[in-house]
Amino acid sequence: MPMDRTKQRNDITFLRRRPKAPSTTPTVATTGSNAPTASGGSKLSFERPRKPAQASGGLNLSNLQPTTPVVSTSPAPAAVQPSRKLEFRQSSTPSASPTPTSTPKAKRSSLSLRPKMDAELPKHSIPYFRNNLELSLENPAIRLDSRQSGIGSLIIEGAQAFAWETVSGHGGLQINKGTASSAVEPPSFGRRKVAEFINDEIIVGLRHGSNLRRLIVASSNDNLRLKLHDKSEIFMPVDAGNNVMLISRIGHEFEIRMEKIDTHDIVGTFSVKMSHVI
Amino acid sequence: MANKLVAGGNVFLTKENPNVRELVAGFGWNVISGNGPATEIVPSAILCGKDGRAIAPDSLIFFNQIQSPEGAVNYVSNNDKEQIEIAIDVVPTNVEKIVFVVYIDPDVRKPGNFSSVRNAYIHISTISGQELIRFDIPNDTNADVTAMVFGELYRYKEEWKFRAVGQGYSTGLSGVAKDFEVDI
Repeated sequence: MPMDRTKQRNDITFLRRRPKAPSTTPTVATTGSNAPTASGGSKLSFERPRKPAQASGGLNLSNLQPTTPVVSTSPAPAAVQPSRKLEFRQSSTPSASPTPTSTPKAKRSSLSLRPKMDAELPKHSIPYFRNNLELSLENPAIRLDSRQSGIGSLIIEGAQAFAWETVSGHGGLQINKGTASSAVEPPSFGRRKVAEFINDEIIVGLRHGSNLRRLIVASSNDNLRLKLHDKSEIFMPVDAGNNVMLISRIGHEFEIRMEKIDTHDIVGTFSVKMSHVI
Repeated sequence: MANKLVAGGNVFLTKENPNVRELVAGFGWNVISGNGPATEIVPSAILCGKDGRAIAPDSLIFFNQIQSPEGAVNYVSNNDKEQIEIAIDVVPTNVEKIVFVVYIDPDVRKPGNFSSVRNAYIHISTISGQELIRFDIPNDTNADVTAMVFGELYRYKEEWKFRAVGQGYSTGLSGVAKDFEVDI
C-alpha cells in the first residue's frame, strides 16, 4: 500500500509545535472578476482587463505612482511607468544584527493560528506524483505531497503567460516578455517573487507557496513541462493552446491539473480576481 | 545554569532533571541581509532508530506538519524562531533519537548558504522556560554548507541525552536525506 505522506502528522503525538505570532501583511484593493474580452483568432489572448472595477479600499500606497493601463516588462523608458511591486514584509529571515533583540510576545490562542489540517479536508482520489508522467484526458490531475509542495522551487518550461491568485485575494497576469502584464506583480518574500518568469521559465518558490491560491499557466505553442526540485517532471501537451495547466494549493499540497478551455482568455475563463494599485 | 556545549559534547537531560518529562527545543538564527534574495532557513526533525537511520522513509518531519498544543502558549525564549515541545515519555520505543536538521531552502534563485547565517543556536529548555542546554553554532561555517545537523536528542540506557553536533552538508537537504535514508 502506498505510503500516505499527505496528512498532518497526527501520529507524531510526542512532538508539538509552538506557533509563532503572525506578522501583519499589507492589503491591496482588489477588484471583482474582470474578464477581458477574448481576442479573435487562434492565438492566446493574455490581455489585462480594460475596465478596472471600483476599488474596495485598502492600504494607502501613496508612495507609489498611479497605475497606467500598460506596463512594460522590459527596462522602462522614461515615458513609461515602472512595474509596481507588492512587498510583503513576511520574510522568515529578518536582517541580521550582531545580537538578536527580543520583544515580549503577547499571549494568544494557538487554536486561532492553526492552519487547516489536512486531516480536516475532504478525501480525494487524485493520485500522488511519484515518477515522471504525462497528463492526459484520461489522467488529467496529479497531486504533489507536502514535501514536493514545500521544498525548493517548481520550474515550468514552455509557458507564455500565467495568471495568479493569492490566498489573500490578490491576483494578476504575467506575460513572458510581454507588455500586457498586470500592473500588480506577484508578492515577494525574502526578495523573491512567489512566482515569476526568469529566462523564459516560470519559477514558483515553494517556501512561501502557501500564499498562493492558484496559478493558471498557458502556452499557445510549446508543451508545458513542470520540474520538481528532485528533477522529476510532469509533462502536459497544450494542444495548440486549448489546454492550460492549473496549479492549485489545497492544504499543504499542490494539485497539477490539465484543463481544456473554450476561449484563450485565461483570466475570464477562471474568473481571476485582478488587483490594482490605488 | 544551562550547560553550554561545543560540537561533539553531550550531556544527560533526564538523569540530571528527573522530574522533567517535557522538553522544548528552540532554534534561533540571524541572516545577514544583502541586496539579493534572502537565505531561507528551515528547521526539521528526523526520527531515527538504533542504526542511526530514519525509522521510515517519511520520518523527515517539517515543523508545519506537527500539531500545535491546545490553548495559549508562549515561547520559552523570545529570541527563538521555532520551538517544538517533546513529550519524552511518549516517544515510541523504536525512536532511538530525534535529529534536528536545519537546511537552506533550495530555491533555484540564489538560495544562499550558512556563511550568511549568524548567531544560530539550538537550546533545550523546560516548558517553564528554564534553559537546560545550549549549543551555539560557530559563525565561521563554510560557505559550501547548505544543511546542518544542529544536534540530536537520544536515548542512553533508560535516560535521554543531548549531543551537540554542528555537522554541515554541502549537499544540502538531499545529502542529509541520503545519509539518513529518508525521502524528500
